[in-house]
Parts: sequence; C-alpha cells; structure tokens
Amino acid sequence: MRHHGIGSLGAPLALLTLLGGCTATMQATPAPIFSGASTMQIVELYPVNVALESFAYPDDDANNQQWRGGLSRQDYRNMVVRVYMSAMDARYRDFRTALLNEQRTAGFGLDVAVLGVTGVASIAKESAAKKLAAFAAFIAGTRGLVEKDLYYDKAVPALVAAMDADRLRASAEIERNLQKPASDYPLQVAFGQLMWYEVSASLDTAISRITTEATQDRAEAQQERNAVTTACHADDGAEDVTARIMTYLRANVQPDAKGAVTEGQLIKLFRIAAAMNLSGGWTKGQEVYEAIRTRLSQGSAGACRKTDLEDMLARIQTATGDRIP
Amino acid sequence: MSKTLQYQPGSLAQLQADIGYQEAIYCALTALSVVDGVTQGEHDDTNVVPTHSLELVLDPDGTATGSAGSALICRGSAIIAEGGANAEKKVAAFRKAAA
Repeated sequence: MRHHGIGSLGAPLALLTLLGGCTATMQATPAPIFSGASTMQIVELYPVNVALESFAYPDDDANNQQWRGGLSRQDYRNMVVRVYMSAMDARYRDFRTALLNEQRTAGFGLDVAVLGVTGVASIAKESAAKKLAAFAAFIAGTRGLVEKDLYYDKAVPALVAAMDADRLRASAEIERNLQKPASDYPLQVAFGQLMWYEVSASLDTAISRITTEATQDRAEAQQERNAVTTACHADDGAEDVTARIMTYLRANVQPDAKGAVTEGQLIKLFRIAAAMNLSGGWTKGQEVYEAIRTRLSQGSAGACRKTDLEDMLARIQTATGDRIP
Repeated sequence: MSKTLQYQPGSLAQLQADIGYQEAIYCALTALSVVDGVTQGEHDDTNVVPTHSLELVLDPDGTATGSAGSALICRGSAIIAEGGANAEKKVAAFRKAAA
C-alpha cells in the first residue's frame, strides 16, 4: 500500500485551482507558472484505481492515515476531483490560448495541435476547418462572404466564449455536488462527471450551440422541446439501427423502476452521451438516459437517417468498449 | 408510464415508418389523435414490440381491417399529406402477426 503524499499538496493545489480556472476574457494571458505538464504530474499521484480504493475505506478505518493521509472520504474526494479539474483546466487553458493566438497570427486553417485538446478525441484538421468555415458562412449569410477577417473577428471569440460558458456551467455543477456527503456523491460518480466536464468545452458543441442560438432562443426552444417531443422523419433502415441501440441501452444502462442506476451504468451513460455529442447539467442517470432517447427520437434537423445512426452506433461502441449486435 | 410524441405531417407510409421508428425507442403505440392540427401519438414506454410490426391504414368509416392475423391497436386520426396538401384523416393502427 502506498501513501501519496497528501499533506504536502495543499498549498500547490490551491494555487493550481486558481491558476487553472478558465476565464471569460478575450485577452491573451501571461505564461502560466504551472504548465499542463506539471499539473499532470500531480494527477499521476492519484491514478483512478488507487483513488477509488483509497476512497472506499470508511472514515473510522484504522488504515485511513495510510490511505488518505487522515482526510475524511468527503475531503479526499474533493481533493482528488479538484486535482483532476485543475489538470483539465490547465489543458483547456493551453487549448484556449493557442486558439486565440491562432486567431491573431495564422491563416484560415487551424493547426492540428491547437484543435487536439478537447480531452476525449482530437478533431481532424480538415473536419474542424470545414466546420469553422461552415459556421463563418452561416454568420455571413452566404459562403461568398466568408473572409479571413470575419472568421478571425467574429467566429473564434464567439466560439471561445461559448466554450468558456459550457465549461463554467459544468464546473458549477460539480462544485455543487462536492458539497454533498461522500455517500451521496461517491468518487465513482464524480469521475463520471469529470469525464463530462472534460468534454464540456469542444468546438463541435460550441459551433452547434452558437449556430442554434443565432437562429432562435435556445432556452425557449429547449422548453418547448421538453414539453412534447417532436418525432423525426425516419428513413429506410433507421428503425433497425435504433432498435439495436435501444436493445443495448435497455440491457445495459436503463434506470430501474425508481429511476436509479448503478455507478457503473452512470459512467457508461456519460460515455454514451459524450459519444452522441450531448452535454447537460445532469446529475441523475435517468436524466442522461432520457437525453439519449430524446436525441434518438428527434434525430438531426427533424430527420433520422440510417447512416447517421450507424455512425452513432459505432461511436457508442468505441466509447463503451461494448459490441452492439 | 406513457410518452407523448408529436409526428410531422407526411404520407401514410411515412407516418407508419415514423411511428415504427419511435416504437423502437418508446415502445408500443397505444393511441393516435390530432391535437391543434398536429398528429399526436401515445406510447406506453414499457411494452417492447418487434420492429416493423406496425401497420397503419386509412379508416374513413371506422371499419378498416389490417393484414391477415393482425390485431387492432387503436382507431384515431392523423395529419396525412396527400396531393401536396395536409389533411386530417381517420386512421387505424394494427399490430402485424408475428412471422
């Protein structure tokens, strides 16, 4: 059994939390003292399996001093979560800074390194450039008006602001949960939310959200959609693919009659939601499950296409490591 | 537990495909009606049904029957696109016999 030097981490951790937090400003920031690499070194002191094992010991266990440095389960959980959040924030800060610097210095195409810091999966250069071009075209109203300056001046700051907002919302949700006792918000669930936090700010999500907000008020639309789901038009073969996905979901992650899921199911639900490019301030498995079903039910732009669903099924398989027959 | 869905206007065949697709997600259809000019379907959200087992037919006089061996689910109404216009039509939904 190892002790991971908890006592010596307090001050640097507090600093990391401050330094790692993202800001909403569009200004360039000074070079940080704590780089992404140095925050990763601290994370490596708390591998997920070790952290979960240490968290499992009751507060009054004789080995508490050795496993958690005398910290209660709640304090230990909060420390581990903030260590991971600090590292994620540092990585996001690098990504954000690079994106804004790219705005000032480079041409239309974005560097792969700049775009590859979304946490779960890197975005291919060509794909991202196409999406950004499409987004800029949307702002201009016509592709003929897409110019470098428009992209620089409008698109990137708007995308960064949207990503900041998504990230702050995700962060606030986790902070609220950290007020709960260890038994109500175990570390396993916190890790699930951290995965969601990590992917909460991505170009894909930001582009999608800004585009939507530019055409209608998102909150009102969401409210209307929540009241009664509008079903998509399904093309040939769509039913078969969705039936496969739903059979898998019912067998593996469907909440029980009381709406509860196991911790393992919750983690899997977050992975599936991320694979479907869904995000939200969910705290219960039932909410994630319903968001997934709503996405399947509504499709994209009112249509459920077999090819889109097959792509979604493949991403779910990759994200969960499960095979969907 | 039931789930209410709004269906977009379309041909009878498209509506059958759309409802069949949603049955894969929200289980068996139980009722069809038109509310404020929109087709609304109720699904029971518990009774999983086989794929492609739904059959939707026009039911102008309330006596339509489905294919051989099929069982009536409900009689109701839906907005059907016909000849470039949408109109409320009486319809009947059947569950096809297992193959």
